[in-house]
Amino acid sequence: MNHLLIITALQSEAEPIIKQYQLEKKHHSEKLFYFQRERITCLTTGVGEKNVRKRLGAFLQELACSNTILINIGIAGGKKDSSKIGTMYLINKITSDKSGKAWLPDILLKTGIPEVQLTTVSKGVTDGGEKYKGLVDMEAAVIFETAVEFFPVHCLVFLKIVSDYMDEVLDSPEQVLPIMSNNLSKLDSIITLMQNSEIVRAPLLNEQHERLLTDLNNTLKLTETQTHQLKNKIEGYIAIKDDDFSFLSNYLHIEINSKQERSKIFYEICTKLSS
Amino acid sequence: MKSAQNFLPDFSHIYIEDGAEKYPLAKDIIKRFPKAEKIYIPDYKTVFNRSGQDFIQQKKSMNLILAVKKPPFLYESTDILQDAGFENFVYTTPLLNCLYNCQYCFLQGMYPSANLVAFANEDDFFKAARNAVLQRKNKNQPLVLSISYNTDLLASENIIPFCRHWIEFASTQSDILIEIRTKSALFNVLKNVKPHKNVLLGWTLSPQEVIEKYEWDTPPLDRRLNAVRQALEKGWKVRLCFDPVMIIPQWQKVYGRFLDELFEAIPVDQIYDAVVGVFRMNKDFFQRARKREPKVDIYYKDYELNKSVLSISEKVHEEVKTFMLEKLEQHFSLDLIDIW
Ligand code: SF4
Repeated sequence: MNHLLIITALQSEAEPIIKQYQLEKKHHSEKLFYFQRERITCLTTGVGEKNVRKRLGAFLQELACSNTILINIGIAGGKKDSSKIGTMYLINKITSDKSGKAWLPDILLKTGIPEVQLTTVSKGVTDGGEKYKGLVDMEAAVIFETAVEFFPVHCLVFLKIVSDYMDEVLDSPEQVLPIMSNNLSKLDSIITLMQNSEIVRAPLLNEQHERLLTDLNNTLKLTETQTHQLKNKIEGYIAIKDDDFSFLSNYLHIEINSKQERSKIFYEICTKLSS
Repeated sequence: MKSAQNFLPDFSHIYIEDGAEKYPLAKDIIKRFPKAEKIYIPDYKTVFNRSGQDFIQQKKSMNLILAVKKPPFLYESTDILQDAGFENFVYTTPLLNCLYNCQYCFLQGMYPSANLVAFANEDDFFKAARNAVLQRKNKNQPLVLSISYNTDLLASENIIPFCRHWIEFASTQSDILIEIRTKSALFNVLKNVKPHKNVLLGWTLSPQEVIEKYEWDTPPLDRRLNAVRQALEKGWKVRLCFDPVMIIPQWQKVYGRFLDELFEAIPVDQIYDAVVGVFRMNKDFFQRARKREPKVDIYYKDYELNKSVLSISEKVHEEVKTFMLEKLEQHFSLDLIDIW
């Protein structure tokens, strides 16, 4: 099952999710906490670019991101004529109002959620947002920019719920909580889809394989080239035979005393893996 | 292979580069996908060259990018492209990437994305082709233009009618021969197009074992043969391509049986010519492809490296040449066989 990292800007956006999945508070560092249970983690970054860069950046530095899908969910301003308050949208293009740069999530799965583009602004918009196409928020662009260093683009999902028509800044818990809560069942179906989809590919060598490879390198004192060749052979063995190569653990008890011995054993292993 | 559940169908999203939408081809394509999400982008590379794309996952749900090609429109022949002995050989790329997913194809490692890029400014390509005809080196031979190089153009004819447009163009020119190489069985899309001597349809044929193992998402052999027969009946020039001949266990036996059955199944005397090649791939593409799809045995064989191109050993290559020549000679005169 894939791991989901849910990112919100406001604590009130995260609250209903924490409650629904009974996530527990954990500390990343003294000042940075998050919520987690099993395969769901929720991190609140705070509003705006600076907060996202600081908190999300620090958090991702230490997260093992393989097998993880990042979902950014939160409220956004929408256009009266093309969006509806309380409706959840999937974002297919994010433009940074500040830099003009566009970010494009790779939408590969069927979510059934209507799609729209979004602009990330630095200040709340209250003039109706004539100049913007689609929705506006204050974090998505910088979340994308930060996270794309760690995740493939198709593992970055942006969900926004329209809270206003860009005529007021709406961020008090009393206003945000019901909007989020009303969309929990939709979010739940997306979480189930993402967790169970084949969207994240398992690497050819699993952790156990990698460990065995490292142990073999250490025991046999392989050169850099030999290490590379061995990895290549092991990958080929798994790819073609889809088999277990635990017989290699027998070589973990061998003592190598000379270059010749090492070459002999290395050749023997390669022959077995090529057979 | 395409079997992934919950993935969106191909072309659920169409990305449109600024300036592309005004071209008739782009309008026509957009009309064919009324339900697709249209996303406007400043430059096709914004989406095609994004970092962090997963080629293998994108293959399960390919999207389309409509763009405007900037020069050059034609390219000189490369080390891995067959020119069948023609001197004025060039290729062009109206479409980048392919609907099919052959595991031995250089496309597996060439681009950062699996999405298709269709260049909508066809007239610029045609103009470049006209100029190249005038400037070709050997005036005794036509300009030979491969238009299905980074793709299988006929396979996508239902959604992007490039072949039809190129055939219409070639039919109005002299001193040009365009080659459309394909594995498609979609010959019907050309049924109302008049065959022309300036157009060569080349079908890549492989034993069914090879198709199943490596030529993912392509039509089976019998359907390709059907297309070949239909094309011949209509009077098209047809080339047969055995490229690459894959070195699978007992390859001589497999290819021997395949060729015997093939020459029973089609009127071989009507075939224009035949080309044969072996697996070859640029080293960098090979390494990238292996990283992307490490479960394919092609990436674990021993190859020889020559001018940055990986290929089977010279010895096995010679065996393939001898074997194929012996088989093909029974049906074609030597000058109609190009072995690579
Ligand atoms: S049909 Fe041709 S271009 Fe397409 S994937 Fe196969 S070899 Fe590559």
